[in-house]
Amino acid sequence: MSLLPGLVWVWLAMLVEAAGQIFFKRGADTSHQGTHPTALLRNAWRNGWIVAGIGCFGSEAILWTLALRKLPVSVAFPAGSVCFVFVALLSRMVLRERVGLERWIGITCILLGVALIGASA
Amino acid sequence: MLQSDIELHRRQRRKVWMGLGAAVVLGTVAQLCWKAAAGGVSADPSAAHTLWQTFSRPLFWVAIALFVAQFFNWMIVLTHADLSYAQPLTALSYVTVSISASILFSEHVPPGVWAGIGLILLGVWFISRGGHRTPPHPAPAASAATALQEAAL
Repeated sequence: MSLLPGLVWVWLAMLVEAAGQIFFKRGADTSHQGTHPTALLRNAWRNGWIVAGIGCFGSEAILWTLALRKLPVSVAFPAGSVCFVFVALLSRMVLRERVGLERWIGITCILLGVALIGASA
Repeated sequence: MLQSDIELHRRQRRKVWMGLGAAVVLGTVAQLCWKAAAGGVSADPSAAHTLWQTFSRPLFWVAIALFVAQFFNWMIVLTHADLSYAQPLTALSYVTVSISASILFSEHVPPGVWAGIGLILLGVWFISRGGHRTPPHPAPAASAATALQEAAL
């Protein structure tokens, strides 16, 4: 059985999750109430970025469930770590964050670590 | 950098790491509750029955409450740090979930998993060496002034 159709669902789910994270970061940056928890609680539902982020996480849950119907967890779980790469790329392109060498080396080590855990568990 | 700037930077960094610690702990406990709530649900062919069984477990609602708390904590972390700094550091929860699952559910941890945990910790160490926040882009006038200052030095 080819793994490709299942992997496409995993990557789609992770792309949606990465987009959700970008929306959350935008939401955090555009909410001017500081970090006071009650203010955050009151204002979260009025911030379009945060609502969009929550929508992304809801859709991701559905996509992930579809992926798990086609793939064993031992494949889906390490494949999901591609999310770290998507988040780094989108942070750089959309949020204009400086993603330096240290972050890329760190992300590479984490990807290898997650792959090893997936392969051995 | 002024002494007070360095102090402010240190204080912010401490706040980011406290938030990341909370994120990892909340994420780990939520996942373990989720696993405990889902485990023992009988393999029933009817999806509705499976859902109902899961919803009627208190641990499921504890996990939901933890996910909500995790969301608010995460928003606070993101007000202080870059997304490309904070998000990969949440990989630490792979480490805490593997270790606590092995203790709670007496699962054996194979050597490959230990090696993976080591690599994740190495990755987290690399990322933590860099700055936690991209400096804001200076306004054109300000950057011209900085260039002049640098030229004068």
